[in-house]
Amino acid sequence: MIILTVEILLWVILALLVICFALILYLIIRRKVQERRKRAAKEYIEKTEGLWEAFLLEGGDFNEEQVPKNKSEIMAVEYIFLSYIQNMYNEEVSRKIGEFSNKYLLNYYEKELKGKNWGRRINALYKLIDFRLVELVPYIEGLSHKQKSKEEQFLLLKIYSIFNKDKFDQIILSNKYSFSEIEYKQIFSLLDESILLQLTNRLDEMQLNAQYALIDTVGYIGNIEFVQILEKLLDSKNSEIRIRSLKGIEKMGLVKNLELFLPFVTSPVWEERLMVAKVFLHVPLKFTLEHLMILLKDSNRQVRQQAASTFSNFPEAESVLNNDSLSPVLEDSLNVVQEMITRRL
Amino acid sequence: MMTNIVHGFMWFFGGIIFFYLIVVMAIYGSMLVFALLKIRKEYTLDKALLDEAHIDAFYSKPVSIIVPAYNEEVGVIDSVRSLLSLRYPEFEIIIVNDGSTDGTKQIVIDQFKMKPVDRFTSDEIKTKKVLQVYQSKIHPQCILIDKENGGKADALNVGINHSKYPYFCSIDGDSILEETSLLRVMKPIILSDGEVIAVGGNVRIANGIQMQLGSVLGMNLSKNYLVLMQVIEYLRAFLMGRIALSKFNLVLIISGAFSVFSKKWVIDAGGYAIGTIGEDMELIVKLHRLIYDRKAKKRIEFVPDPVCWTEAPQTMSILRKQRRRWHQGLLESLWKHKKMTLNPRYGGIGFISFPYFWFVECLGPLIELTGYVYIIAAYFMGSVYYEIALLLLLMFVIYGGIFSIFAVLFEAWSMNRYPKISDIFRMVLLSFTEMFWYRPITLFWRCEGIFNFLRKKSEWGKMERVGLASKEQQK
Repeated sequence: MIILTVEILLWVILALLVICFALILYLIIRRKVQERRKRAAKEYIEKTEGLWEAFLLEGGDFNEEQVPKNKSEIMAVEYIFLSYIQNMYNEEVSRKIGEFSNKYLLNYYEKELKGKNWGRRINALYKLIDFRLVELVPYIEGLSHKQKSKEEQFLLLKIYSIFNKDKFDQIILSNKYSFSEIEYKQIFSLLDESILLQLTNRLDEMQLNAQYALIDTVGYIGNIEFVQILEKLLDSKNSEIRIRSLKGIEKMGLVKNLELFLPFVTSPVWEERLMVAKVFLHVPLKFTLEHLMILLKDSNRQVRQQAASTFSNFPEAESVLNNDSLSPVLEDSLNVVQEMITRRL
Repeated sequence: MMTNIVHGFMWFFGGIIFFYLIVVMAIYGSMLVFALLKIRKEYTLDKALLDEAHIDAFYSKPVSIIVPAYNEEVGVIDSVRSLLSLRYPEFEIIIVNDGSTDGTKQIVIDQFKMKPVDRFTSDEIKTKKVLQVYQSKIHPQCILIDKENGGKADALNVGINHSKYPYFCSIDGDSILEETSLLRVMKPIILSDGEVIAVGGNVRIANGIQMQLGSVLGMNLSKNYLVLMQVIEYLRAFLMGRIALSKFNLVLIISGAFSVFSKKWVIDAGGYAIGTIGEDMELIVKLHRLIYDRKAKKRIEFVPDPVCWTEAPQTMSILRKQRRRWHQGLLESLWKHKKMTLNPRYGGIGFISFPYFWFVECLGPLIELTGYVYIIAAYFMGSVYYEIALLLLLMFVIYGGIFSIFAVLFEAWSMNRYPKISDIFRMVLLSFTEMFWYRPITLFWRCEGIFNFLRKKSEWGKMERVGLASKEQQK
């Protein structure tokens, strides 16, 4: 029995060792191939960098020499294009990269998109966006929902947001897919402001994550046209929407109607009180003093700190501090304000 | 009669060790296959493309990086420099000097032109007294907190109290991050909308690293066999164990050398436990407990790609202290939360993680070491036992050697952090020798950790560091 087990184990070890050596051999060969490709790509870049500069920046035509003939040269072209996109992006550069890619790289990326390897498909989708491979869009539209991973679905939505706005609207409002807030932000921040405006009008139809991301994006862009929308959202039943709208308005720094904000001074949600204390930074102190005094006595430490910080930002804060009539309850908060003023000086 | 008893005894223990090794090999084998499948899916992915998508502050979350430092004058500057060169949109660096008796505080003040400041803090976690807070004039996002000595956990708690962002990253005072590490370790948190509350990165051994002003330029494998063996050991532990456990939210250990946490959850869990040896594991167990107690849909993950480089012990005596402490810390946490074991209230953590950590990670060294003693005894006891000894020896070859070789090859295929073929060969060859020297020695040290736990002996070992900068200068 034991001899039999020993024999089996010896065979197992032998088999594992054979697999190990096969893997080592494979790794050596793979590494050599990678090194050769890197060398070839480097040579291609050295040979053609002047031609690319002339084509992309100086309005010249492209030369036959630039057309990539193998995988190493495609890698080199990708490297060159991404460098230009990240460092010297303008509409003309983008158009020319798109023109070249649609003519010479389309087959390569189509093959990559059809491949079984998930990582390579994702890489190809990113390139499709960066290199504006519009002609591949109908192909990926044909892939069924089941065939796509969550990451692929996200990139697809991003692609629609750039190349097929109708389809984008249809998908985003259908709530067919669900993404994280950050992913929605990545998509929304690429949209034209007119489309953002349309979407904000249909906010209720979207998933909650998308709603939050849209409000944040609108605040981040900071266009004053959006202030009215954010002000309207201050009435929302969802406190998270109200907080984010306050945040967006604070970021824009535009307070048109102070009355809208006063209910938040006594809100049961501390984050709303914190945000309104921040909003008061953009309103003259004489209009907000009594409300700031309430916030300085708030039960939440962060709210008190923000109120103190807002208060100390106004030049007249010091004279207000010297007013003896202020309640002794405020002593601690006022000390904080005093400390902040001193530090600023 | 006596012969019969000895015979029965030898068969019984031989059977137990054999059965144990079979079970452990099956567990490690399945973890390896699992990790292989996961990494196979992602290894062709161009991660630089994904990094670009998160480099803007609008698409990420700000992080406070806490660097606890006790007598780290040799490594702390390189560590902070590596943090300053991180590609991350918004972060602050909080160096906490835990009452160092060397020049840690002064060297940080001098290097980063620190000046005393007042800073608002919370006292949500009780800590030892903070003596002074400093802020760098040249890097305003970098602050130094000088405090009374209270241990690493206390220093981290002070950092949490002083942090201003909702997530914090704990980094050892001698560790070096790659420039994209923070970006990549934060990805699960960012993309999960807060469902992930803690993430651990991959820790690699830095002895042999080429550095310039805190940035990693390249990798040369150390010539010290003890260090090299640890390199292999880390690869095996991180690539094989944690990837699989992470998938099912079963991770109980993410390295304190490099991990990110939700501040709110850590504060709710009471912060780092003072007076424990393995404060990093203790925190993870407490977080899991809190998740189950609150019935919250939260996760703790391990991400294999973001790498943190850390210095490994170069001598037997220091390594012995480290391993003894680690094992004692593991046992301490398991014992403290023993009620979670096989407790249905704690789901997978109670039914899979705890039994796994008890019987494979914690008590495994005792059984394995017995296996080694058994082989030697069987060799001297004569013919019948030769075969059992041979059987166990062959199992140790698979368990100790071949799994290590696979881990090395796995790394070379997927991550390729050690690009020289000669380095791969050296590691593969050394893996064959593991079961003859490194494995039995470390098993013995881990068993010492068990005895120290039973004797309630507390050992606050401090690793003597050569420092990465000094190696850099030697080149």
